[in-house]
Order: sequence, then structure tokens, then C-alpha cells
Amino acid sequence: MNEDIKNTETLARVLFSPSFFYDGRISPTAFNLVVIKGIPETGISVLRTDQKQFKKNLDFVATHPRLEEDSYCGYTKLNAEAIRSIDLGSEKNTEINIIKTGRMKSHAEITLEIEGTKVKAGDDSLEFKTFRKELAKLSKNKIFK
Amino acid sequence: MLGNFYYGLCFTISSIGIPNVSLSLRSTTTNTGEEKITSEQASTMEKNSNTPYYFEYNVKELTNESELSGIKTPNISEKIQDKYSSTHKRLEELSNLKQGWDGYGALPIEDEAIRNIERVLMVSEFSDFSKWIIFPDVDGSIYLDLKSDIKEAGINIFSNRFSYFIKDKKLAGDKNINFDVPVFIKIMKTLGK
Repeated sequence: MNEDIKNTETLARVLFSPSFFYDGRISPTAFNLVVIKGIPETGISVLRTDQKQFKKNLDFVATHPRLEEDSYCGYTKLNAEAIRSIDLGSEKNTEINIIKTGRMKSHAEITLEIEGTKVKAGDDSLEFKTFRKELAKLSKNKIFK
Repeated sequence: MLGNFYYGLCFTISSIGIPNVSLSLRSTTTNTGEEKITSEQASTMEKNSNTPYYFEYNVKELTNESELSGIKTPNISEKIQDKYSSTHKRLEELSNLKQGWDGYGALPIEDEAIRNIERVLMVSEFSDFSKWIIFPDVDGSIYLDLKSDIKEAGINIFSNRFSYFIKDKKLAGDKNINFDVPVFIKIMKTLGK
């Protein structure tokens, strides 16, 4: 476990598409790993809301979408301990970590390892599908602006 | 179209020259007599077209509209019509999503995946479909999310296949099943139980 990010911390997942929210629920697909500039992500991007730079970083992310046509929709909150406590019910060995990236002061990534290998963008394993579903559940279907 | 799918069904049937008939969807089991699908059985479906679970479409004479209960679609209340109308609207929304709709380069939703959902809507029971929420997925598939507080389940529908997972204490599922409406409905029903 990465001790730098405390269990009490709240993490924000920024949403760029209104399609991720429907019928009062946040979609598990809002927690996908993506390919950026040809490189598949290995961690789900989040911002640490308890950090001083959070608001500044959030403003930056919200106003600098990766694609021109993107529009910021808001963010959803997840508790670090709850993320680490997710039980995927898999017979495989899985490990969940929350890692600081240094990309921005408050930036971190949520990673999932299956049998010692980090899941990356494009993974269609049952474990990852369940993982993103559990993350959506932890969001309690609330979106913050 | 979907908002009035019942009427659409009648129109479709009469338009192909078969008036006063109904479609009956019936599941049948062999050998074990069990109705429930296990993940192993679902896997078998994928690999073996001679699945022990099969469906029959029955076309029979109608004496009155209540016989449409073979597919459990009568009693179209306003609530149900609203549901189908909203589902149709949702599918239209998804069909309009362009490349990168998620902000990171997601694929547009596959047309055939949308048509597959429409095919399911035509013959599924309202009570089954109402347990699921429709979302787009970044790989161009449609993701159905189960509304449940006691178990987690989801289905991804592609143009010619689908996958599902269910976590009810233990994780199970299948990543690659050829799309077939009756098989899909059977699995959707089982996951939603």
C-alpha cells in the first residue's frame, strides 16, 4: 500500500461527458483506462481533494480538456480506504493501489494489478469490469461542480 | 418506434402478411431440467451452438390480444410506454456520440449494437429490461448496468457478440458470447434475478 495517500483522503474523478450520468446513476464506464497519445494508461486518474492545490488543479483540468470538443461536466468523490477495500470476488490475485504521479501536485492514479500485472487501457477482464463497477458504486452517484 | 413497440410489433407482423398471429418466446431445458444458467453453462453456449438451452419462436393463431402474453407484453401501461420511449430516446443519444465522446478518444457506439438492443426490447419482458441502465462504453459497445444493491452485474453488447460479469460474492462471467437474442435474454434474466 502507498502510505503517502491516507485512507481518510477523498479522491475526485473528473467527468468529461454527460453520457456517463443517466437515470440518477454514474456509469462504471466513467472509470475506464484510456489511451493518451498512443500510450495506454495503467491507472485511473484522480485528484486528491485534501491537497491545497486541488482547486487549482481541478480548474486546470476542467479548462484544458484533452480534446477540443470536450466539456467539463463535474467530478465525483471516492474515499481512499473504500477503494483499497474493494473485494472483486476473483479467484485471481488482485491488488489495488493509489499512487501519486507528480503530474500535478494533487494528481494520483488508482491501479489494479491482476496476478502481478498492472491492468492497462483496453483490458476487458471480468476483474476490471467489476472494479470500475465498484468504483461507480463508491461514488454514490453524486456529481460535484 | 420503441415507444410504441407493441403497436410496432403488430404493424410489423401485419405488414409482412401474417395477420392475427403472435410470437411466443419459450425457454426449454433438457437433461437436468434446471432453468438457471451457471457461468460454465454460459461458456458452453459460447463454444457450442448445440446448447442445452434453447428457445422456440411460436407463431400461432390469435383469438384475442391477450394471447400475446406469450411474450408478456400486453397491458402496456403509460408507465411502460414512457419507459420504452425514454429507452428509445437514450439509444438515439448514444447513436449520436462521436469519436472521443468521453474526452479521451472513445469510439462511437456501434450501430449494430444499438440494433441488438432494439431486438431485445422487442421481445423481452418489461420487468426484466427495467432493471438495467443503458450507458455507452468507450470501446463502442453498449453497457447495461444492473440496478441492484445486493450484487454487481453488467453486460457489454457489441455488434455481433456480448460479454457479462456478475459478482455475487464470487466473480463470474464470460467475455465472448455470440449475440443471439434468446440467449441474451436468458442471461439478462438470470443476472437480474
